[in-house]
Amino acid sequence: MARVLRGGSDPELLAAIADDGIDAVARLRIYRNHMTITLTEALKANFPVVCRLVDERFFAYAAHEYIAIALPAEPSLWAYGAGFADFLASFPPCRDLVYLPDVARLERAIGAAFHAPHSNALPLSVLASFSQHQACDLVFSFQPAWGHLASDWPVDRIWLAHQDQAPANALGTLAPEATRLEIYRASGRPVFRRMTAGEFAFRQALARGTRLEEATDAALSLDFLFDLPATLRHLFDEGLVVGCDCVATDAKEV
Amino acid sequence: MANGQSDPAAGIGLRSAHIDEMLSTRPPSLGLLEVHAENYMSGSPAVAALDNLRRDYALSVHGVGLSLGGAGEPDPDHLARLKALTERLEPNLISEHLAWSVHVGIYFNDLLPLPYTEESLRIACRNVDRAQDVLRRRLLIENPAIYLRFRHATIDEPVFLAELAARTGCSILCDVNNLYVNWKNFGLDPVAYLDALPREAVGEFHLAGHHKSDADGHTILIDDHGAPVVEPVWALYEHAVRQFGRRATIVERDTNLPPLGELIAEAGRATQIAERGAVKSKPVAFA
Repeated sequence: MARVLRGGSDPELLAAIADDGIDAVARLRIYRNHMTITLTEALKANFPVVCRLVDERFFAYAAHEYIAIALPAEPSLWAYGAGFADFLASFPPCRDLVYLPDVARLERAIGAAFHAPHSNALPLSVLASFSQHQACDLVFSFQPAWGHLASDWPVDRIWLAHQDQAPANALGTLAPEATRLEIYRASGRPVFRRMTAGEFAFRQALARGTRLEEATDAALSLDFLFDLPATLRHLFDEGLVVGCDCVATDAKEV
Repeated sequence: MANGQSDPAAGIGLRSAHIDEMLSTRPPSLGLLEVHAENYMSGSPAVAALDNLRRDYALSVHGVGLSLGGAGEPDPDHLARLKALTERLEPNLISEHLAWSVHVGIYFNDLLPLPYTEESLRIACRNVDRAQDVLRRRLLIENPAIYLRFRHATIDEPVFLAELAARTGCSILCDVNNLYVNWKNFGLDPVAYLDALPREAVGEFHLAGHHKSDADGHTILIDDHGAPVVEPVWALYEHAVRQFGRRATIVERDTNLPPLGELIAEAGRATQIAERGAVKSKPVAFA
């Protein structure tokens, strides 16, 4: 039956289905249709703005094609659609909507931020427990809800313009625009915020476990106005920092 | 039942669109909320909302992903997630389905039928035992809506369920709409079905709506939880209450979600029927 649900055929299964007045193929189609409809609904719930951008009919078509190649690996359907953005990027009918995959990536990051587990955040004062000498060698760990996204399109404005409460024509003319976002959870809600190139490089470096000094150098190489104290303060104020260690040999762990 | 209620309560399947309204209005007529386990197996704030509602309502956790009717054992990772959730929420009831949904790591998002044979009964018993051992809780197992039957089946579904309950100690969640749908689709007599269930094993009822569809030129009822409970299902519910006594009852709606008030009204009707059915014994017509 699993083979049939995935679009294949199974003569043995057909022979095993009782003759209850309806053709066995039609009976199996009921299950396959139900699976496709409910998984389409799950994708629609996970990618509502993508659905609005392409309209429900086209979305159902794209979802149908995606479901045919990527069924869920687990029953929690909020996690379904990990490959949907990449699928849209290679889906020929979408090739003119070049921003669509990144909108899908933003929605995926928003969903991940909402569902990620929460860890206890460290206060900014934790930095005072390290010497100035140690500061260069600090590495941080962050809330699992924290994500980053870079796009050549203003995916944040596209997303906001397709919310229920958005004014008509909120987006205006759509043009390429380098956009760097961080996505996280604040007060129980997913939020995103634009960043400069320097901030983005800094945060991405820290998220990879890079030492503070190297992350700062990466930021300054792109943006000589990069404001390290303000950026650090934001990370702590938003409760994003959950671990802070000094990786020097005389490390002091917190 | 928890929260000071002496009688098993009636309630609704709680969907995310209604959580904020439930938190702000806390309708007193509801005694029980049921949630789909898989929607809360994450670190989302929605779990905290359930913690909050838990103070005022009894809670039922209804799983759809253990695949207890499948040939393989329940996924230990999924079982661990369910255990963590139930340990946190301490629900009054935990239920799953007599169906399978997982095969070699793929989740089909449907409650798929199994052939009712001695072999599949042994496998289902093994899986229910495994789940109950891990959860350290008694499960309620729901009778499914089915759209096909297997030629090599040797056991009637209610007998299969009764034997599953006898061998594993699980309880039975009797979905009244599924009985009705299977009656209309296959001619399976719902009264005979109820007669075959052991009274003491039936621990919960489900009520839901369905829609009519076409399969190969034949009208077929689909259990989509997308419409109000129909009158014949209410009548069948009243019959079941008279037969088994008052049990926790959930009105389910998963598609075409109506305003919260409509579901609360249906739960209220279930309460009225349960109160009436528990004291009277005249027969009701549900055909």
